[in-house]
Amino acid sequence: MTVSAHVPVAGHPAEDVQVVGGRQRTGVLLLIVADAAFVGALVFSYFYLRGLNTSGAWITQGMHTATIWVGWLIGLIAVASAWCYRSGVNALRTGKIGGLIGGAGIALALVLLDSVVQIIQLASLPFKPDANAYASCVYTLAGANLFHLLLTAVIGVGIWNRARLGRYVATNPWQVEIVAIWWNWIAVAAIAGAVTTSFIASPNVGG
Amino acid sequence: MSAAVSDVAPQASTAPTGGGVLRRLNIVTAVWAGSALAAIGWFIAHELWQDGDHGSDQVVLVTLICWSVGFMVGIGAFNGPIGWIRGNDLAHEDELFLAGKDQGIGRYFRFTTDHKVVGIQYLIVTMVLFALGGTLAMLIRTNLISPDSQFLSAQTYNAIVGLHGLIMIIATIIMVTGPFGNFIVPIMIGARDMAFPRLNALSLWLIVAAIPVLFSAAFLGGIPTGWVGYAPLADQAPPGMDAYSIFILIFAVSSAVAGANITTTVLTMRARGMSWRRTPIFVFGTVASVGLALPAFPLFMASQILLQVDRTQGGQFYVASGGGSPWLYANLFWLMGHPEVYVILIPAIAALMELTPVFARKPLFSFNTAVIAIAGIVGLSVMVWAHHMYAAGWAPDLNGPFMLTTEMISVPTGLLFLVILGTLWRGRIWTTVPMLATYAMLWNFIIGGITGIYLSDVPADYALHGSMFVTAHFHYTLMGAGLTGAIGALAYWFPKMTGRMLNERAGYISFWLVQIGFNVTFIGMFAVGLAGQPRRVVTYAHLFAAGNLVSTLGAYCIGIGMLVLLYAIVSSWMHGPIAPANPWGAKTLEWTVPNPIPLENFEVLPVVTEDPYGYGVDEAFLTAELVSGSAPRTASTGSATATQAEVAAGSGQQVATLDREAGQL
Repeated sequence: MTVSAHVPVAGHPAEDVQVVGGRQRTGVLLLIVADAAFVGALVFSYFYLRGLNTSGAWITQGMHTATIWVGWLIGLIAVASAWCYRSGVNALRTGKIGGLIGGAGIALALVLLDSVVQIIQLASLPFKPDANAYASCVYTLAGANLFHLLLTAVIGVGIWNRARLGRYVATNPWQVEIVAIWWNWIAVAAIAGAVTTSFIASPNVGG
Repeated sequence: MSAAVSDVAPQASTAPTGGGVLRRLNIVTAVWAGSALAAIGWFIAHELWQDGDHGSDQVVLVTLICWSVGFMVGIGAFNGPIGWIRGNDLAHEDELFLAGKDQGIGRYFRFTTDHKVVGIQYLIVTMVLFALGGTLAMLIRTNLISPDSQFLSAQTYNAIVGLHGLIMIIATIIMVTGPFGNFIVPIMIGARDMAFPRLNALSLWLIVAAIPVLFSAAFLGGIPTGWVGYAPLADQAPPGMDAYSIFILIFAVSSAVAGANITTTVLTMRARGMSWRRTPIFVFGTVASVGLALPAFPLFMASQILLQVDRTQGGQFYVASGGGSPWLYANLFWLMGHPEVYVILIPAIAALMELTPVFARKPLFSFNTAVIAIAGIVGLSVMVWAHHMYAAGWAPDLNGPFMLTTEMISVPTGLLFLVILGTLWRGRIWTTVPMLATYAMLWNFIIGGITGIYLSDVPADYALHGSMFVTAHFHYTLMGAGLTGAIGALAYWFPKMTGRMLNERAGYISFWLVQIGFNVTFIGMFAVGLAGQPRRVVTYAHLFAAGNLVSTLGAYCIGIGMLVLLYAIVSSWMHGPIAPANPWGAKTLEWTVPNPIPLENFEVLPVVTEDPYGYGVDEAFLTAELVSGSAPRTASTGSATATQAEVAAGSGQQVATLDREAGQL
């Protein structure tokens, strides 16, 4: 393999921000693939057990199930949060750092609100995880969503604080754009959870 | 023990001033922080939940999570993210400190980001895991030396079998992509480091944090389920099962991080001119492995989270009476479990495909076929999982399709054989320890592969399922092919990683002891398995005594061979002859950097203008004539010092030098 020089070693000039940004985006997308596989496994578990209805015990007769609209509310707040964050990113692209601070701040507030709603849902479900397979699935999906939201809140605090400190400029919006990809993903995951838990009764009535 | 990485000796005059609080953090502070947080977690959980229905599991869960978090805090893994949140970006001095510049051997015990340090750390961790798992294997085989040995109690035996299995699986998963994927791949593609150096260190230290978690299982009632952790037995197992779950959770995060990092590095940081056609096959193998693991291990992680809901909250995921199903676990597990076989095998075989052209002095036979075969294995490996569940009764209508997909995977696997055989064909082979590994892999993997085809057949599997035949089969693939490939890779890249030549005599002795012992052990196991001996049993019928005695003697032979290999590695690393930069005369980029390797690998970034296997026929002849099957001898070529093979395989200028000097040689 023939080699020759093309970059002087002295000083190792910094890589182009586009190159670094593209690389970081690739890495985050791959991590999202892994996370999507995890969320997919939880959704698969829900539908698999619902379809099997082993011993006819997917849902115990007469039990109260989770209120569907709460899951959708959590999903919609996550979508609104992602939209606000995206607005902040767009503002940064046009050089309005204040827009990023505002957009990221509102997005962060919405994620925190979503986390609170999620915690309230978990605390007020009319069953415990040991009731049956349905109950176990709902708790696990809600717990995973809460983890997503809290992690996003931590990232959001970082972005908002760094934006406030002037760490981002219009010519290098890569970091905030990459976080936007994550933000969109957690909204998708929350909606996926809402869709999943909307299908309650097992089609396999015989068990 | 000297390292091949530069900056071994601390130099006060050039010591960086960065690092901040990280200067005070190392593995000792990590253990302290982990222990302290574990103690606090245990105390709180004990006070809150000990008397509950699932109290002991909850206490163990909280304690082990606290240990892991505390350990990572103590090693400094959270310093970067916290600094980022606070708006503090790393200064150049901080980055130099993180990279381990001028820290001597201490950098191996810190959250160091240099990919070469991480590669060596992975190598040590892998060797420790193999040593521990191998010791457990010796205990298992000692117990099975006769039907009535009673060397171990039944409970201890069960726990050891599970622990041995899991340790070895984890060790084999990381044995190639960990040490060589981290140390070699970035240099091989002409990069200065990995794409995400801090994530690289994170992936390593997560595994280090997880190892005590796994071993705590031995003191918490063990893992009585075997390494697969099947439900519903896992629901009922002692708290050692909680340790199993936490270990898997941490390992899954580590493998996801490592997979994203290595894949991104290869996708975005290859040297100028390194098209996919010019990318070494080992890079393909590494990316295929970590790329396959990326979506596969989260499924295993999910299965363990569901298990923990069952164990600590009374969940019903795997409890049939509560609407759950053990088949859910089996599906999630094997959706990970069979791709995982190829996560282990592909990089090991790719390493052998990488080194075979070097010692055959011929181009890799049909590079395109090798790439297509790897892609084919990756694609098919996610469509075969249910062949592990024929006998479980899950979806009998799907047995036929899964039999077909499983048998189909032998086609791309066979293509890999053809690539290696084609490369060897009419080559002038330079027989070295790495090259012997190629031969051994071909022998072992033929046996492992063909017995795998038997097992893919539904009727045959019904007869052989759960027998020692299956145990022998997967040892022939994972150990006979996978571990042999990893040892070949170690022998091949040892000079670059350590700066010293591996003791060749000890290497040969080790090779033959291990390979003879291996075949004796597992052919004996095939025999008793065919005769009907079930696996995972503490005793057996006297009918199987002879076969088990043979297997145990073979296992001792493997053990002795591995000790010789360990001696070869340690003694060579400490006192071996200094290795030239390119002792094998190989053409890939890692051999173009000097020993010790500079912190940023390349003084100037390379531009690739040729494929990595351009060993011409004349050149092969010349090299074979010069080296005549011996270890590399040093030849003086003017003012420079180089090995004969190195000169022969080098650039036109170097070959010209050789022509001038050939008469003197």
